[in-house]
Amino acid sequence: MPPMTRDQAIARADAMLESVFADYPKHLEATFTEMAALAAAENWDALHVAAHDLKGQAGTCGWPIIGLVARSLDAALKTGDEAHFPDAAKVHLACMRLCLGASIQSPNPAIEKFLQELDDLVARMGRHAEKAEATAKGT
Amino acid sequence: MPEEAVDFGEVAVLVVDDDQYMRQLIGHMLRAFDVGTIFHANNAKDAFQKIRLSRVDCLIVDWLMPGMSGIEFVLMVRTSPQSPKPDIPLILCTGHTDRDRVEEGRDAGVSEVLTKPLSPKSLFDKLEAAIFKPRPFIITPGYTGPCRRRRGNVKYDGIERRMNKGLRQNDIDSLLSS
Repeated sequence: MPPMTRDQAIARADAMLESVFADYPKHLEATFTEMAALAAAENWDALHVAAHDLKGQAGTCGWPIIGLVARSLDAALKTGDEAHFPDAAKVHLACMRLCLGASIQSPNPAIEKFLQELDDLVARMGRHAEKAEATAKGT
Repeated sequence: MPEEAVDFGEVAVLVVDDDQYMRQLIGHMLRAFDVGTIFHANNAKDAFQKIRLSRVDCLIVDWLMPGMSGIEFVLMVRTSPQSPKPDIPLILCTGHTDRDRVEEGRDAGVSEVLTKPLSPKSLFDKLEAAIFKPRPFIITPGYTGPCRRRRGNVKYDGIERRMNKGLRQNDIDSLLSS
């Protein structure tokens, strides 16, 4: 087969990915189940890796909203206090499942507002964790 | 003028990512581009072994991986005495687009930074640039990697205004060669 032009190659890849992306919701279901199991086992490091992977992956596969919620969970597990991890995991996973169930793939104003509140909550968790650490160090 | 054909048929690419789904996804895109050989590795150690044992022409490496990170891997490929090909084109894949991160990648010697979410278009352009339009390779006591002088055809539309926010792909390209 003769070499393709840039446009031909990109169009071919787009067409090939269409069928892959059609199955992505199934992959998301399985991923959420795995993440819930990691949270139940309090395996926060593995959950952090899963959230980080999902953050990059979901946007690529046409679900930017899931990527945004995964980013928030990634931040919560990176900067927050471990005592809050179970709740953070629960809320974020519920949100991602809700988006998947309702086929909300991209942000809309209502979801954006909710995500902002989630981000604020995660930021407060981070500040709380810093304060607790400073208190523990006696500074 | 008709668009020129791009032939990746003789090219061997190694995709290094701990996320199996992303490896598969990038593999699908590379196959669609008719890339001749596609290797996969799920960690940096395995990837380093693969480039020692096989002919690899380009690396696509994820930034965050358990164990050795993408950046540590880039430094090892560029500077380790055991590295079989320090000047190999290397595309770093990341969701982190803040200035500090991009500078860290540039200083480690990446050829291109590919931002997530990925698309066939962004991957094709980075692959073509890394393989067919490489910058001269520089070895100095403090830096080993592609020359950081800007390519003539890169559109610059202002990094400073967005210093504290995530950079756009154009800004990242400019920063890589500044």
